[in-house]
Amino acid sequence: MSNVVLHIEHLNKTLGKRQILHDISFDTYAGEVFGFLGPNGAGKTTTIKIAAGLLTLDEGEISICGFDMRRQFEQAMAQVGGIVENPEFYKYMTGLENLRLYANMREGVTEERIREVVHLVGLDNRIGEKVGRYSLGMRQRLGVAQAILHRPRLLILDEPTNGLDPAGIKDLRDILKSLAHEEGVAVMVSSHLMSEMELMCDRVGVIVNGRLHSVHTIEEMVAAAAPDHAEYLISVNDPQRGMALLEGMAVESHLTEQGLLNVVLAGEQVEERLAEINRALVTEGLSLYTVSKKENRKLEDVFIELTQAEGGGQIA
Amino acid sequence: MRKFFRLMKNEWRKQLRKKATWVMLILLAICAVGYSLIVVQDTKTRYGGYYDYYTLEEDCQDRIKEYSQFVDEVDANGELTEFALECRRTVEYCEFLISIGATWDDWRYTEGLTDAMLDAKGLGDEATYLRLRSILEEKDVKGYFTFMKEQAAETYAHDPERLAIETAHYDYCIAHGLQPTTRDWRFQQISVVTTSKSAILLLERSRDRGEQIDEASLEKARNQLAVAEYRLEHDLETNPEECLEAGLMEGYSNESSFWSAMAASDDLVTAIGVFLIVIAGSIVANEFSQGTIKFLLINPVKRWKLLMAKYATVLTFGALMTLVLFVFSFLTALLFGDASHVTAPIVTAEQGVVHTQSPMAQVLLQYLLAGVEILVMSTMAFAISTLMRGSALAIGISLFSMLSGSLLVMLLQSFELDWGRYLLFANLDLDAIAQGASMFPHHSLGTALVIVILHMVVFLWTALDGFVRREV
Repeated sequence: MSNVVLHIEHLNKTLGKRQILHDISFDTYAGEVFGFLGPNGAGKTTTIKIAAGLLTLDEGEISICGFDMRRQFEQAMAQVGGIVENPEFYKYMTGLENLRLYANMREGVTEERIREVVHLVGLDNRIGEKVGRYSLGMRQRLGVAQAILHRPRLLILDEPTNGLDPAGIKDLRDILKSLAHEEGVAVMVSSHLMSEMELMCDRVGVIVNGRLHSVHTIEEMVAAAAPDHAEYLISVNDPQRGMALLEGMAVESHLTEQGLLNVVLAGEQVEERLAEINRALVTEGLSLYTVSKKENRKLEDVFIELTQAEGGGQIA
Repeated sequence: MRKFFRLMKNEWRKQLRKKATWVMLILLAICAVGYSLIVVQDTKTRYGGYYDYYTLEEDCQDRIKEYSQFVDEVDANGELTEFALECRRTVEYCEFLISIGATWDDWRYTEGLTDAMLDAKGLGDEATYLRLRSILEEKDVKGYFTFMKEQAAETYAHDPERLAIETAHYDYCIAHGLQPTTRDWRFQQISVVTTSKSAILLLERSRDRGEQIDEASLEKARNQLAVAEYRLEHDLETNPEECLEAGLMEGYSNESSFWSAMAASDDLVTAIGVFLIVIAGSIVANEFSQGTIKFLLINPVKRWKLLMAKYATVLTFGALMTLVLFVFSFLTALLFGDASHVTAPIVTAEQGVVHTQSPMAQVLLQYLLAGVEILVMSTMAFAISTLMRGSALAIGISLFSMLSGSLLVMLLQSFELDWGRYLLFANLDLDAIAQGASMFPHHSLGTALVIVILHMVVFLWTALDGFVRREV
């Protein structure tokens, strides 16, 4: 991976008396969707605001496509598009008029390009309406249109799925993936929802309490979450007797609060051993209602584990 | 630069898409039309029909009623007092005016002539009395001027130079059929010619005798003479200068409703000031309150350029409002006022040489001078709102300063605190300062300009610095 688009090095930021960011360094590359993951107040938005030129940096270095943020601001920002926090527009103007304002502030955006982008975000039918009448989801779409208008090399989206309906989320995912994988844009998305990241991102950086905890590819995360054992939930008419039986069979198990038998099976021939347990329960005279596989440990749990380890779940 | 204009274009679009902007422009146009109409109407009634409410006959009857009470007043010796005699004469004078049917509009109520007639009667000079009586009864203008010319011939018999001046005066009046009243502009001007000539003659004589004379008065008389002669020669009845000097409220009888309306229209620059402060105080603050500031700053444009584009928009919007005010005042004055006066020049003279100048330049200068105050105040609103990120306080402070800053200065001045002159508010009325009408002694236009420019620099620099460093 050689094509560095956003380069952040030893970034420190203090707002008021509080140091928000501690020595953040990472790169994002052309053609990838980079997820920026962290609990509330971890410093995601602050980092994004600095990369979008809204905040100044105290120490460190940021460059975009090789242009230094501080010394070559206009060249650097010409490569950036984004939505920071909520997508806000001039409510008394139509969506199209709003886009034209942005086109005027950037180089090389034609009227055709505006139409193309409007079509891409699915606002063809409503673009002539005043933004004041848009729903949050529509404003979010307009925000994306605004962000990609000038074909930026770096697209920064701060919690872009806020307010979108499920179809909208899927559309956005597809747009972002195609921008990254087909047009070679570096997309940086922040979120506190791991499940969202899993579907969208190629790499994820986890930020906790203003420190960059780690950067993983999604494959690494999935591997970390992959289980080395399987758990099953068994529902019977008399759980107490069931438990006694299982203990007798030397199976690792416990009773859940819902009165289900939670069986943990590791190693080889998991299905065979489950069949054995079932048989034993039925032979014992218990009514066996259902047997279901317990969901795998999710990426969400991995994420919580990662972040809990650092900050103990308190807002820093 | 092209990029800067595109930023300005964006700001203009945002402004023009707001209803409030159009409401302001329309209100301003209505104010301009209304105010001009008031001035036009006011000038017309004052000039044409002011005295219709109270005729000369009514005036005379009132005076007769009042003075009749005292005509029989006697002193200790049983003789009529001086005052009683005066009253008798006034009553006689008033009765005579009524008998000849004199009105305010003709020249015969001029006391001088009737006095002369009554004097002649008192002296028993029957011939003169009858002659004057007939002049007055017949409205004989030519007879009046001939009589006056004869009087002058007697008065100045020993002074042929002076006599020539007076004779020329009456000959001109007779030749042009003038009416001896200030309502006849030619009579007014020829009177100026005559008095100026006499003044020059007397001053020059004093100088020839080796006396110290006031050169300035001589110069002034020469210039007055040149202007009056020029106006007579070129048939320039309208004198826009008077309109420009006297505002609506000063109760001066202006001759030209057109120029009076144009000259008064700069009063409404204050209204522009109110609107412009609102725009200047919200153009940056609104971006913050709407949350759009982030989407503005994420663009590849340096912040100082964004801010300057906004400031330039405020300035050009002020210019647009001034244009609206001017155009609507002009059209109203043209449609309802004396449109023929548009081309009337201001005639001035310097060292006896006549210059003519369009009064429009003067009107525009007034606009410009009045514009300085609103420029400074809206810059202040712009700076405060940029720093505070809110418009309410900025607009409030600036409006308050604009409307009551002069009160503060007056207060300081009344306590004789001379440092008050360095306050911004004491330096905003450039027109008054230029004319030496400032409340503080030795207050020069240069000092005022320096103070105004310093404030502007501070306002803009603070706004720029605050905006560029602002963490969003």
